[in-house]
Amino acid sequence: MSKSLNILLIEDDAIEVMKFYRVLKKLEFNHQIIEATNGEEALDILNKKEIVPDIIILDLNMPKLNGIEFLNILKTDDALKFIPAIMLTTSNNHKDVMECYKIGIAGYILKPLKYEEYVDRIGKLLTYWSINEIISQ
Amino acid sequence: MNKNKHREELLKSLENQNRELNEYAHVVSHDLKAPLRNIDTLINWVLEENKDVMSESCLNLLNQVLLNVEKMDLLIKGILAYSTIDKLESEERLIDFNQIIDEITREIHIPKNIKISIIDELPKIHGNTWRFKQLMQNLIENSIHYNDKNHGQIDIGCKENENDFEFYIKDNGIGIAEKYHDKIFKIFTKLESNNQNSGVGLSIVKKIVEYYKGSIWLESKENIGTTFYFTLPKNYATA
Repeated sequence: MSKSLNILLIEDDAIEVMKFYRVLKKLEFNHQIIEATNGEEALDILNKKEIVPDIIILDLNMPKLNGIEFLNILKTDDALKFIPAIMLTTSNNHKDVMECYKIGIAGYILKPLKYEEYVDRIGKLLTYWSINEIISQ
Repeated sequence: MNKNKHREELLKSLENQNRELNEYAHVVSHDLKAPLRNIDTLINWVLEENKDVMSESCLNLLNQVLLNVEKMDLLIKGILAYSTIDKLESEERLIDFNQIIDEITREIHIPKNIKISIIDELPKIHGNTWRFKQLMQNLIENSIHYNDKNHGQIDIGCKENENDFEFYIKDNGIGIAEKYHDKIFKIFTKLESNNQNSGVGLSIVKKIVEYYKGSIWLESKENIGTTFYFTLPKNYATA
């Protein structure tokens, strides 16, 4: 049986957020989405511990705290470092990818140009995670 | 003494300017991607929600928009690739060109009527895997794209000289008229409009070859085919 996931989505582009919701609806997923528009907001949400996300999906290019800075903070926090974090970003810069894998990510997915490719990738990403065993507090 | 110092300063200034231009191209292309993606998404949503009530003409127009968006994306990708070539913090190791070709033929779309053959066993050369792959892939994709024959044939080979390796990629495509032989390596030059090529492919190839201190040239007969030659010095670090 596939789980319903609690997803923390850290994304500052309003259309990207709309896109994410719309794809979930189209694919008839029933995951719960917690939104944050940047890394600082996300850290606030995580530290409040009202809902603990099963996975975190974030972009590299975010205002205030960029993806790599956020990842570093996440991985040094004992309570948060085991939550799988997945990059959903436009950059396929080798340096960025290396850096993320070095700090420790659970996935690195490129935002494609075409909408239908995006639908396919998100579908695969979330299907994969919903068949995984995940830590819930 | 002063002349040398002046020359050094000039060189430094040129290096800085070059680096800035490269970074500029990189940043601009990167930032252009987001609105482009949004346009593709939004048009797809318009289509999703309304295609049952749209006229044939309307559907056609929107699909044209999507095609243009894709074209622009290819262009941006090309500029990004071009501006990144000498910026790459290269991990360099011994690269087996046979393996590179094998990877490429597994990854790209090769039409059923086109056959790619490696004629001579290709060498292993010290360098960066991304650059070498881009180099071969762009040449191969060009050969595929500009082939009009029922049986397309692309031959890849290499000759070892004393100081370098001389590669060739020979196709039986549409050929290139002599007057364009220099022009095609210029960035954004295409000899045909209306196709999905970005026009950057060959300029990237040239930039990579020159990065490794090699040279590139071609022989071609219209309607018969084209052979691209390029050299990679054996010790480019000291070439």
